[in-house]
Amino acid sequence: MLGRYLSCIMIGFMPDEGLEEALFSLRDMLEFYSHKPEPHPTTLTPRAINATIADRKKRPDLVLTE
Amino acid sequence: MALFYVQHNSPFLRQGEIISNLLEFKLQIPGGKSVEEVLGSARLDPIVHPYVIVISQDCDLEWDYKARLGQTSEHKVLIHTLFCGLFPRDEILDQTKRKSEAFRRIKDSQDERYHYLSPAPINQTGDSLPELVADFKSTFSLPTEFVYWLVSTAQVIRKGELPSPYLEDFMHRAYSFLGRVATPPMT
Repeated sequence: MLGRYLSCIMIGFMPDEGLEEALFSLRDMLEFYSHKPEPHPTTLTPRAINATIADRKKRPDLVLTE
Repeated sequence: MALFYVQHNSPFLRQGEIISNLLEFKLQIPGGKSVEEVLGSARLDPIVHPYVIVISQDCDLEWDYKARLGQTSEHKVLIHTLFCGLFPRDEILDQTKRKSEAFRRIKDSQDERYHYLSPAPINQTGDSLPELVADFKSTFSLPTEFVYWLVSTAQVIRKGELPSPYLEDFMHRAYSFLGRVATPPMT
């Protein structure tokens, strides 16, 4: 609460030439800290599966076509 | 300047490193089956890539290795490593009408899809690599953890590294091809 009060005082004492910069900074901070995180999407739980390994094969050759 | 490959001397994978015998496990996806059915009786095809070149960035690979050793933060782990397939001359089936013309265009870097690497020795090893053609449409990734497992169990051969300035030339051409964006049709 004290911080909020001190911030208002600092804005009050800010020389005119620094006011625009201070406002832009405050706007960015307000935007950043106002962000509400979205709820995480439901993720599929990884699970082990049984798998059969087929025969080993070489990747296909490179075919040059027109 | 004649091409020669540099013998690998790094514990981590390098950008431009040529690996032989890389294994990929490809899940068979039979038509008409549900996800549950496929996962219930999964079949994996082991696909061998005789030659590939690592195209992930060198700094990312180094940070990844350090992260795996716990020497830096975990978020620097590279989940997948990118590769580009390399094809020896005798594994290229030329179905074009003017065969010598198609290969000459590849050799002269006139076809943006391919990159030609001449046969060259691997420095200080007595080994060499054959004439190879990179197909930028044959790029794929594998989980980095899996690749290091293949390396640590000697299931792949780390052959050599493409030196500078051949490395820069290769990567610029590869990413130029991969960075293409389709233009809308003219109306």
